[in-house]
Amino acid sequence: MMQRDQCFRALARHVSDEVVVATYSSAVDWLALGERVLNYFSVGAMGLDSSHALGLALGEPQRRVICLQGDGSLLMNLGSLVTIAAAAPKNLVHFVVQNGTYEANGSHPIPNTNVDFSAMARAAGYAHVHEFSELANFEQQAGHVLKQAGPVFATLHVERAKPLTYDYANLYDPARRVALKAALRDPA
Amino acid sequence: MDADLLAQDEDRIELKGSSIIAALKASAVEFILSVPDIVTSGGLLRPIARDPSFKLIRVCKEDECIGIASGLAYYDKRALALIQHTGFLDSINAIRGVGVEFRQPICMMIGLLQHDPATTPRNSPRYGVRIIEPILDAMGIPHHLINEEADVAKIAPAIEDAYAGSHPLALLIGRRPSAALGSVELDSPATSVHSRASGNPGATLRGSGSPLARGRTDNKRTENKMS
Repeated sequence: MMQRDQCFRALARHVSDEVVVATYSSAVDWLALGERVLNYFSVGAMGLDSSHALGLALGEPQRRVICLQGDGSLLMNLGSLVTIAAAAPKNLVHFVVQNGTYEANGSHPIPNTNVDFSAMARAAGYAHVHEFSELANFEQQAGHVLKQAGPVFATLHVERAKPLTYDYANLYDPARRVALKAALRDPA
Repeated sequence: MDADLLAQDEDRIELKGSSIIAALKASAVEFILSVPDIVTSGGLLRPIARDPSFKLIRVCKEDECIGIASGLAYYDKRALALIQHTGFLDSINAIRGVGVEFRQPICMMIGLLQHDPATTPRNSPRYGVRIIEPILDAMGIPHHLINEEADVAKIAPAIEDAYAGSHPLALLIGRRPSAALGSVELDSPATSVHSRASGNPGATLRGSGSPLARGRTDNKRTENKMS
């Protein structure tokens, strides 16, 4: 079993000008790897991560979008798997970080900790679907996953993390949204 | 004939779907995000689905529209969520978080299901409709009732204002927009129906005796294409 922060470190080695959509625990761990203007944390409602990511992907097909969604969040927006598969953005890579808990809400278990998200994504019609539970394998494959023509889906099976500090005022700082929009409008 | 193409009983006031669509084009709306709504299905969603000027994203649940529209707005791409008032009610938290608190230009066109267009929404016979405007007021979301042709002029300025000020907007559709002849075919990739050209695009459909009701085939499922 992997740790979420380990997975994100492996992923970060391959990330450059992609927009990264992340919320709650994923956002905290991703931000811990360093500030970047192309982070998108202002999702506004649990579960909407994947829908924001779809909008960003449709808005500029030449820029890749990476969604780092928790399992509890995806359960709140399972229909987005079908919507994304139908819209078929080639520039969207959708990760679900599966630790079986609503980590930001007291680490209570999700209704079925063994739910098979990859099977759902495959059935919904994603172009490529992956599943990782060994770090060495993910480290080896992460670059390939990010380069595939989307929509791409990957489940990252991780352990529950130690309690995190959630600085929502920082994550949702309006200045982040202003800077992101400026960067996307004027990529130079 | 499909239910969405039947005029509401004894409704002699026309609200043209084509007028609303023209207003959306004038507003540079590029993406339509929708869960089907019986009020707007025949007059708006069907012709929009066939119109190459729009990119139609069919979503599974209305709150997806809020996230998608927000993502698009970062690239200044304009979108309209075409939904039913029940879907609006189901999406309140997303609208609260994304539209109101994060100040994103979320434009919604909301069909008022089973509303009596002869009354105002606040006096609607339907409880679900009566509470819509008070909820929008409580959330500080500008809203306009589009109930007859003269109201269509409100659409473009309201959308412009929503994007200029980066705030949400609700356009409430009080009666079924009429469907122009020739707009009856379903254009979903998952359906296949008869298509018939018409020389009278301004006419509206009245009753099941319309020639458009004849010759239709049953819906046939086809596989979604993967790209």
